Amino acid sequence: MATSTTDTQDMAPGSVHGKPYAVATTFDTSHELLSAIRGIRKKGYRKLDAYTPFPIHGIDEALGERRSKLGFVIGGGALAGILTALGLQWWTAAVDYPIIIGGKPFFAIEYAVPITFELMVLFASFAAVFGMLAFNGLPRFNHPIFNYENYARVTDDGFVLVVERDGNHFEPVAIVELLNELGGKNTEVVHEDA
Amino acid sequence: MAENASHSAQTYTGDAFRLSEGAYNKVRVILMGLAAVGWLLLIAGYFLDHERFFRSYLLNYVYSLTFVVGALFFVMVEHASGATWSVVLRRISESIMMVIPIAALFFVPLLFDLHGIYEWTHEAVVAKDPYLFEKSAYLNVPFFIARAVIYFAIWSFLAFKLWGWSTAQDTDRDFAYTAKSRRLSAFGLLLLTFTFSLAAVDWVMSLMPHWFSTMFGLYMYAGCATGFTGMLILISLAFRSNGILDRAITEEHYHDLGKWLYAFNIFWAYCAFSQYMLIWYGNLTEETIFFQHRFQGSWEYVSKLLIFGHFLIPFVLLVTLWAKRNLAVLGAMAALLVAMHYVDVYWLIMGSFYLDGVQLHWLDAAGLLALLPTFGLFFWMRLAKQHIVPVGDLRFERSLHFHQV
Repeated sequence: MATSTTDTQDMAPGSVHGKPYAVATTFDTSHELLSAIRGIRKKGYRKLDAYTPFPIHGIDEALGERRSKLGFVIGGGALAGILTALGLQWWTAAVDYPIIIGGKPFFAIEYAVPITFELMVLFASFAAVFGMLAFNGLPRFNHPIFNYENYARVTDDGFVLVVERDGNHFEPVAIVELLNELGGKNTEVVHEDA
Repeated sequence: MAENASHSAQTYTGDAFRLSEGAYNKVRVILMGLAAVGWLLLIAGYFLDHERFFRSYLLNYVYSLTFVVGALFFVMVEHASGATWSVVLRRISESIMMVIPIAALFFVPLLFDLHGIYEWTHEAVVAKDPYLFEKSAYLNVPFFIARAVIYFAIWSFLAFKLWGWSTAQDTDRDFAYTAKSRRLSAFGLLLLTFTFSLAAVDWVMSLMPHWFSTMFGLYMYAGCATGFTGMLILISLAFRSNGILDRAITEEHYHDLGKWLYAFNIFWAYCAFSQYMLIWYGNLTEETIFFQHRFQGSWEYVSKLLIFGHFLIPFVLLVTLWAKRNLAVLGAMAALLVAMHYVDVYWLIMGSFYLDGVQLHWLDAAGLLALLPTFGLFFWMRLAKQHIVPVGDLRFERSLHFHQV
């Protein structure tokens, strides 16, 4: 799409009315992207995101990403699975309807372990999948970054850096200038849909 | 990355990555001293308590051998999977693996008292016992020895081939060796798994010849892999504190070693529980007898020690990323598992001799002191002869700069 910014705004009516979401810019190499990330962080910008055609070593550290809390959610899911399985097996077999099967005790840890293990895995997997979706704000139908015209290059050869709005304090013009200084191309203010 | 690689290639192809004369001699003297004391005690024990000598010897022989077999397993898994991260650790593993031919020699003393160790070698007993009589097609002395020869021949063949290719690659950096090693390892892993399972049945399970479990070989195999990984971590940490490979083996490698240790410990517990639960559920006399004796008397505490010390405690303490990257925690867990692996082998072997309870004997310690440093000494002498990392492997540079994603 070789259209200008103005054309895009005409084609997508409403986007011009939305609040500014971020300033986005594109680099040609991962090296330029990484050094620009370091440059913009030095200026105090923290709410950054990067979109790249392939995973880049060290980009999490450069962006200052903290370790995901997903592990704790998964741990909680696993614990819930263990308690559910043990509780269910103990209550049904030893309390609610005790019946002798194969000369075994009403409840024994030996026979309970496989089901406990399976339920632990199941609940942990659910926690992993749904926790991941929740942390990523998914599912959603659209994302403001798609309003960035150059965004399609991310799946080809573009390395996109996004400086997102941090609360109400947002000076797009200054950021655009800064990103251009750092070597960004096609720098644009991206708006949310109205 | 590109700059790093060319830089380190210049730095490392010289005399770096070799053991210094001083470090080599120091460790060699320590190992020789320990082994000398051990062998003196062990030989004295042979005259003092003939029966216990062979039992202790078997225990410590099997324990020491598991590290050697574990090393062969580790090297072949690395080759078969084309792993990059572990290339810096491979020469250490290969040097341990090369103890196999020596270990075969140390199997010979057991042959002098098979009668004292294995009930099924007594023809009079077998003739009266229909179960043992049926099993005698497999459990008989000539076939037992022949199988041991076959196991050691196969393991030695794999070890020599992989070692030869790996060391030849140090000088000519020919990728063909990597390809050959991968092909051999894929097949070799099958061979090792099969033969080691049978070896576990022959040497350990047949101590209780009426009892049987199809899980037993895999159970010991999992113990091998766990114990070896623990030992590899301990060796790497000992190197690190003496400035050997301290920049080559980084936290990133320890993190992966921690995962490996953790995974195999869970696999060990999985095998242990699968074996136990099926026997518990089936509740057949000839199967439950194994656990019956191990839940009686002082063996009960050993069994519980294994559940907590070998599985639950390392499982909880090593679960986080932080713990696997914290060298103090990782080292403590590796040491715990190497020790628990001994308890496990003790439980398996001595549990079949002393049915009513644990009977500790100084010969157990003497045997450990004799055999483990002896194997260690041959490992050490092997390691000192060439580069202590596979410098010719094309993945070596990438392994040095390996990072977790």
